[in-house]
Amino acid sequence: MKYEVVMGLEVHTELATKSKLFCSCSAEFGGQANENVCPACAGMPGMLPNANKRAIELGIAAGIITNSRITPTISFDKKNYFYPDLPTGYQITQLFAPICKDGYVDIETADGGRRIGLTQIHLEQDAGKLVHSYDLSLVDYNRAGVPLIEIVSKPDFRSAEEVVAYLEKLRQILSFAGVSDCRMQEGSMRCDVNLSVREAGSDVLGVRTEMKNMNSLKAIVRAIEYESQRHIDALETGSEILIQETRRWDDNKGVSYSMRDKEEAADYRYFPDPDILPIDISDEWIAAVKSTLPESAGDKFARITGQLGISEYDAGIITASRKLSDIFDKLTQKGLPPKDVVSWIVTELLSMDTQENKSNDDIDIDCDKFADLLLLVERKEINRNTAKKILSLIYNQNIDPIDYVAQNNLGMVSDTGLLEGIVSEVLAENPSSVEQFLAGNEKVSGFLMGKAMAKTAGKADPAAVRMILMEALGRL
Amino acid sequence: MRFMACSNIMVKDEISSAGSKMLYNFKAPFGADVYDRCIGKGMEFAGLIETDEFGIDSLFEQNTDAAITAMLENRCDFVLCNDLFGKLQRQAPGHGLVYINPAYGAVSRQGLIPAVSSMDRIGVLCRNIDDGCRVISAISDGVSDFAKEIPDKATEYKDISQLKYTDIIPYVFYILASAEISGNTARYDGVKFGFRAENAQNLNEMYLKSRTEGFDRDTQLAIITGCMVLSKDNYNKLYHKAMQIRRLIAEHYTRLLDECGFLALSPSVTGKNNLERSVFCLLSSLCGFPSISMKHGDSERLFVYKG
Ligand SMILES: [Zn+2]
Repeated sequence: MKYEVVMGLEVHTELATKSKLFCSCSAEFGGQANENVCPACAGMPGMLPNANKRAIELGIAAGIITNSRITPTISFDKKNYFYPDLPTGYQITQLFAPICKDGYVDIETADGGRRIGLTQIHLEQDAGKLVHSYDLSLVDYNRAGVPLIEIVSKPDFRSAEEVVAYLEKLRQILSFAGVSDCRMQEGSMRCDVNLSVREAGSDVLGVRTEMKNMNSLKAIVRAIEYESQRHIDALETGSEILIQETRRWDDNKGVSYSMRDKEEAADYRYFPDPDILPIDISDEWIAAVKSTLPESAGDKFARITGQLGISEYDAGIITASRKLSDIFDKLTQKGLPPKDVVSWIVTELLSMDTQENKSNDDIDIDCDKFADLLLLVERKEINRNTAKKILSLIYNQNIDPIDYVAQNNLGMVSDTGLLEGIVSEVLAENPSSVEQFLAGNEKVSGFLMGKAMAKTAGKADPAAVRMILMEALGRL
Repeated sequence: MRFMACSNIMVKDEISSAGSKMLYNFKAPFGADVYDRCIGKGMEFAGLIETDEFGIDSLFEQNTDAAITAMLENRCDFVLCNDLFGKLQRQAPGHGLVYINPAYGAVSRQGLIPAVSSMDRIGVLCRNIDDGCRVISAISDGVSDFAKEIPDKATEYKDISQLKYTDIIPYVFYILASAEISGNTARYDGVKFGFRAENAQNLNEMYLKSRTEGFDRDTQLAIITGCMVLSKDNYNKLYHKAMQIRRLIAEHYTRLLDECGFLALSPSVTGKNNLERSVFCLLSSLCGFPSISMKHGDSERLFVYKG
């Protein structure tokens, strides 16, 4: 029997706002426990929620880039449940009038392109975090009240590969538009998978289970594989009876297990939050948000591969990250040739920090200094090797490249008379190598080249040295 | 003027318990806007007064409210209260006092410990209309001129048939109020502040014990009713239906007030319980209409305005 896996995704991602959804506390990640907390987000009585305009605008932006309809009047609702990480005993979310509806995201997999439908996107508050130590449970409310969007897809996925392609695409378009950082490691992007299995060709859906707690793409793939197999085994052998339930993925053990004791009994008793008036989103407001969105990753990819002649591979790296894309824009705006800029970003800048779990969006460099450095190379004032070393110093110590070159006398030696003298010295000091060269071993020129460069402490223009060396050898 | 406030109105660094054991040690981290405004106008604060827990009136008991007693003992010139259930409006005229409710939203709720967010409003228990209007003007942004609409002598009801929905107003009110109370009291769980029961073996037991010991009977009844009307099975039948009826009530009475300017009703009528006795006060709560409860001539009157 052939089976088909049918999946829908619920993706939660934190919005890139400075402050929380209903108070003015900082929404920045990290910090001391309970540092970014006020009476409102600590759940004390007497404070009224004050909706964060920026969060609503980022919700609108999420709708625009996912081709969604923006709801003309949105409202917020209370979802009631008890858990110590939820300070008010209810989460403010959107059930009845979510900000976006009926969008879609196009993905590419090895089997070609597919369109994934979105049921809705809604705004809601994040909860705090429990920290367990010995017999104590401590709670940190820094994340409590941070704005999230939940992106709910239709059951349009048929394989783990499509799920991964979709999550990568979402990450790209959301981070590119500045809607979210989408960092899975810090929990700013989380995903629940609804999965069912049916006979291939059937149009009746099987029993659906929901899996939670997967915090990396690898874990999601493993969880989908495990859960599909569990469903197929159950269908084939009757080894267990599938029930609609919520399951938790344990990535260490590689199994999912039922959470029904805790979850299934929950009745969230949603109702409209009377403390927050409905908010009208006018066409003008949507247009204003649209006008602030940067060129989309897709458009940028097309432009830089087409007009600027950047390879698809390099363009893919640059447009996968808002940070790299911004660096690219800033450097090319200074008049640096796009191809050189890409090469410096992809081969040099990305090798600066190879720590694990670092994403390209974590790269932090002063673009003005980076540009000054590349201009020095462009004007042949320093050579590429010197520039690489200085790039590392800019990246790690934020030095000023122009001052540094002047203070350390690193300016490129391209004085022809000087270089000719150095080349003659090298030839005189290495007669056996010269003989080998003349005997036809042309590789020896590399060794002689190295010797000549060493005499200038690596500062010479390598192209000029090579030319002078080859001329001198030719004359022998 | 000297004023007091019910303890669900927060006063910075004072224990603002809202009459609840749950908040027996809750020192307010900031003061209510109304408090700050009164102080800003040079009024003198004479202390907090115990209130029914979160301002929730008992369904059956009819004890005299502590705010009335404070006025009768001449401890202040007025009291700031949240008379959601109409208890003070029922009792004030009989003691020669006046209760003024501003329109919903006219006075800041910031710093009021919430019970029913869609109806909570800070009103004034005072000795006469002039005092009350002065206070309302001080604590709201608009200027209040209720007084000029009060007739010289008691107006007769012209057409009682226009007073619709009176049989269901108390229950529409209680469905909506209890739902919101269940949400607004969910934060009191023994985890973060306030009362935490001892000897709990696990988290669930801590919640159960703290909330059982921390809330009084009327609050527990409201919470349980609220959870019931919001549950999956009942949401459409009870909560949503009550919201629809609330809109019909508001539309009907707004039209009526458009025609006659104000209604002269009775703050206390006969009924099986305090909700039924308060029916016209609850009309004002449900629709957010401003109102004045006072002795007028020989009768106790609740004047309701459009706001
Ligand atoms: Zn806060």
